[in-house]
Amino acid sequence: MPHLSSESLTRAREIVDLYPQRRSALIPLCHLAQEQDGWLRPEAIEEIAGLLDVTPAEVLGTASFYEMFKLEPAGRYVISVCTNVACMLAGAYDLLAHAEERLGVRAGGTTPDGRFTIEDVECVAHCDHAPCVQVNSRYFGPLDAGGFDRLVDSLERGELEGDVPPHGTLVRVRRTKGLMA
Amino acid sequence: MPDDMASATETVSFTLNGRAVVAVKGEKIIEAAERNGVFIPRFCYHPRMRPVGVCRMCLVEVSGPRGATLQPACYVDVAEGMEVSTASAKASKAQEGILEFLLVNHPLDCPVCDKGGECPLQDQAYSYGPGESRFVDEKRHWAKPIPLNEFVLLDRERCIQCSRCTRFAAEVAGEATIDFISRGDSIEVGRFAREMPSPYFSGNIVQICPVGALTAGPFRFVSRPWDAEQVETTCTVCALGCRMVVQSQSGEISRVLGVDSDPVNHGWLCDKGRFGFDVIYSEERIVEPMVRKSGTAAGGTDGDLVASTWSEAMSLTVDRIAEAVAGKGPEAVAFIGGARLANEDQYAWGRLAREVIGTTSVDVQIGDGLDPRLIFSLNRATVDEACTSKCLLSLGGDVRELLPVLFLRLREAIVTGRTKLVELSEIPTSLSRYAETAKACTTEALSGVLEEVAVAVEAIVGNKSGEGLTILAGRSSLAASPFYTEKALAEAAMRWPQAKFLPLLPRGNVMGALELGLAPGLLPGRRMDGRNPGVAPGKATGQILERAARGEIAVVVLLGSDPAGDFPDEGLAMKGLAAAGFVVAVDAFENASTAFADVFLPVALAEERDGTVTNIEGRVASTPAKVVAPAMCWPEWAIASRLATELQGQAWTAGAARAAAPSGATGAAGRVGAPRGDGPGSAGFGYVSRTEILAEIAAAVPGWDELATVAGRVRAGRDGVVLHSFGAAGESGARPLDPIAFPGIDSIEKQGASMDAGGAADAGGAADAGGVAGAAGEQDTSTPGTPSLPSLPGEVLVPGSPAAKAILEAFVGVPQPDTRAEDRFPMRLSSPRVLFGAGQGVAMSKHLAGVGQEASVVVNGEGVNEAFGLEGVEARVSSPGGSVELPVRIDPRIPPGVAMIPFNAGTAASILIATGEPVTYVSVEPVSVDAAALTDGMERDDG
Repeated sequence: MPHLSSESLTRAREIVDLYPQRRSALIPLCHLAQEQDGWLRPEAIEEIAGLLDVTPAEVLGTASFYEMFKLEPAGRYVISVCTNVACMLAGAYDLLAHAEERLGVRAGGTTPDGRFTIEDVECVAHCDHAPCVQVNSRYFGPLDAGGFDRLVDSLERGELEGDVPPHGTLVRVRRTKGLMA
Repeated sequence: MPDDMASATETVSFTLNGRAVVAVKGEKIIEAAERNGVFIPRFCYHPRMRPVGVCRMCLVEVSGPRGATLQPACYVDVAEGMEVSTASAKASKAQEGILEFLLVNHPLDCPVCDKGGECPLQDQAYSYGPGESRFVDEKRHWAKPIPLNEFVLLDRERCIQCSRCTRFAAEVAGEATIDFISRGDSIEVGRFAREMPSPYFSGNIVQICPVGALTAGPFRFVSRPWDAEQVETTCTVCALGCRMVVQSQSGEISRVLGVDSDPVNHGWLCDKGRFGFDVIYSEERIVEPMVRKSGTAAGGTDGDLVASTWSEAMSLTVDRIAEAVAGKGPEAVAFIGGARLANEDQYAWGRLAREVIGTTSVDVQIGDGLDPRLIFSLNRATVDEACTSKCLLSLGGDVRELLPVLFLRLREAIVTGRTKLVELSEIPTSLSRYAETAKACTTEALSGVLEEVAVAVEAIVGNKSGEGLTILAGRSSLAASPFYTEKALAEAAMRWPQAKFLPLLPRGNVMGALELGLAPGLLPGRRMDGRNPGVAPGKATGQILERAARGEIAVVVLLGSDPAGDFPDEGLAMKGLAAAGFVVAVDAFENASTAFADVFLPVALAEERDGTVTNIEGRVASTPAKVVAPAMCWPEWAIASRLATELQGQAWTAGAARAAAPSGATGAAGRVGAPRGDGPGSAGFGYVSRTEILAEIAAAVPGWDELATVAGRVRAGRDGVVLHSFGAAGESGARPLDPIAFPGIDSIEKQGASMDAGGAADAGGAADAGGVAGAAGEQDTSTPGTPSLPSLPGEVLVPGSPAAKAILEAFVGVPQPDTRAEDRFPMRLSSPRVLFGAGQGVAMSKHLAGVGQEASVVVNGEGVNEAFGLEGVEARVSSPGGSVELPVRIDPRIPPGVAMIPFNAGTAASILIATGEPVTYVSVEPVSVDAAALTDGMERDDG
């Protein structure tokens, strides 16, 4: 039984065909699988390996290099709190501590309901809005404790569905011309 | 890597530490420096893998247009006029810095680390390190050790990320089952949780790990390198003959390491060869002679094998052989097996069989090989020649299962583009994915398909004569008679007279046995046996067993062979052994066949005996002993010699006087009474050691003569010498071993391990058995496809000779019987040999416990019963010959209509196969659920 859905599989084959070397499609396929499941499941890793004629260990080795690929279940919203120097000077550690308190999990953890994952990250290039966070790679900032609570409330109420797709989705618009990868 | 400066076309001159030296163009600085006596520290560099320059340990100062810079010596080619300083202040500072960084996270647990004492990190930290660390923080910690597979343990704290293991997996073994996981200071070597490194080559990553990160379970806390004694020898697990050292501590083998033999194994070993040595310490090993005690000694199980003495076992054996010969003639004594024996043992047993007893019923192959006269009529390729030929054509057989390290050599040759593979095989093999063309082809269709691929093959080699073509001569399946493969081989040899062949015969020293005449129809030195013109297949194991089943064989001697467990037709083997009057097992373990044995003679095993062995190329290499055999376990030659002595006292044998004469021994001095010492001292052929036997072989057997000369022996040091091509090209001087590539064994160079052919060749022209008039063999053509071979007594089979041509023509002319599936048995059985089967080599080894394959039947999902959608469902597999129940596995790579059962994972396949049938067809039906439930219920009621 293939783990990837038939749409994912079709898309995967399209992606593979874009490259002269099959294994070049490794990272795009990891994104594809993460878009489907929210994280990289072992079954998906095996299937990607099969599609690319590499071993699962090679897929794991590559995916584990990147923070953006989650090898354990992640929440629907992955909130990345920047603690790099600009944000730190603007109070990032207070923000992180508040975030941990508000969501009840430590950085790196996921809430029991599977809605939120919180993590501390290095600079995400949003220093002009320090202290900032990313939610599923979308920027928010500057945030204080109140701002963070309002952000979480909005996410919980589903008010930001249009702006923040579930974790794993990079873009919801597909290119139709130019570089298709 | 250039082995030979003279053969290199271009050289460059450069300055090494102020000294003008010459290097081969294209060589890396580290290699050039090493050959000029300068060692540059290194971790990631390995001479058998591509350089990557990741560890930075080999930084040296190199002058260039922009002044002197630090460059990795393993990655930079030497260039004309280059100035290299390996020990300048700048280079030393760099090396110190690298080592200090490498040691930042390295635990200093050397006192409890298996690598301690032979550790490149330890050694180089002493030699090139700063001596102290400025790092005061907590080192990183991991759970340790974690198992990577059945053999290998990983301690990530010790890892220095040199990537030797991951590169070995991807680059050499071809399956990247381990890789670097994560990044930065949390990087670790890891595997995907659901996929373990396969137990084929994993031991190599332990050997090449430059730290103690990868250790071997079987060697964990066993020994310290400074306590180990070692000897360089040759592996006898398969017929490739990988060079290795055997180490021991306190007289017990502690481990085995690969040695880099340029023409053979490149330093690699398979896990079976590396870890399976502990069979000699199995509690089930038979270490004293045994005799079956019962009223009726006739082969059967109506009595137990009980411990006895050599004198009792010997005199019983001698009496029964004497009775047999006197009553039914010498052909009533048959010898099966002998591939485990060393060359000298085989020669001695061959003399016993042919000269003293006078039988021609001798066969080393147990129905799983190819006709030796065909093999000797084909141009032989060496492994190097195969790897450098333009095209490899495989006629079947999975190299990784049969001769694992040959798979590494061939795979490397293919993926580096040196050669292209065209594969014809019943089922996909481990090389299929690398093949230019891989065709599924049943064995009986080989001849026809060969026609089809001939054009493609000729296009690759660029000629029609077969120059640059090497044909891998193996069998896809033991469920199809060998004559299909033999006919195809003969046709290929006729079509392409310049083509060379590499026989994929897997058994340890099978080629030595064939060369030395433990084969039907052949005498030592590839001479045709004149006594049984045209028939010799009649004496092959299959016919021996048939004749035994008809009561024509009175004594069967099993030379380390197990026909009941290993002959393709289990039913025939059981019938034959049961009906044989007297069965002598010369072995180390009980097995299915020894259940029929009346006498069990225990023997010394490979690491316990000196000797030489011959690999598939015909390469003779030494196998010095490392440990002492249990007191009552004799080397095989001594048993043969003693039997000869005792048999020569018998009045019946015409061969007695003649046989005694050549060796000049006092063989006719009558029965040697049972000496109290019970030792192998007395010698029927006048032998007192293997040295004399090898000298006699060298003197008497064509093709072996150079082994008698000092030059021959010197050349045979590490790489061995190839029979019949002495002095041919391809010889290289002894390669210096990279001390870091082969840790702990660099001192072998000094110890030497010459092939002790030694001594006076005073044995003279012994063993000229060709002239012995024996019993005329009867024509036996009961097996279809048996070629009617020309009678060529005394002819030496040299490829291209008229005799060899006549043999090829005979094989081409074999009429092929019609085979087709019946309605009742619609599927074709394919039964290839696997590396880890149920044989003694795996079953008796504690180290290999858990890797032995369970028998199963593997089918393609298409068109089979839907019940098989569930993996592991039991199926009844039936053939005209028998029926077995096995779990089913579905594998889409198996062609539809084929049922694959590994041949040597239990006896399932040999129960189904009838050797009288050219091809075995089977039916695969689910075991009825109702029936199963009923049976379960009954068992419960009973219980």
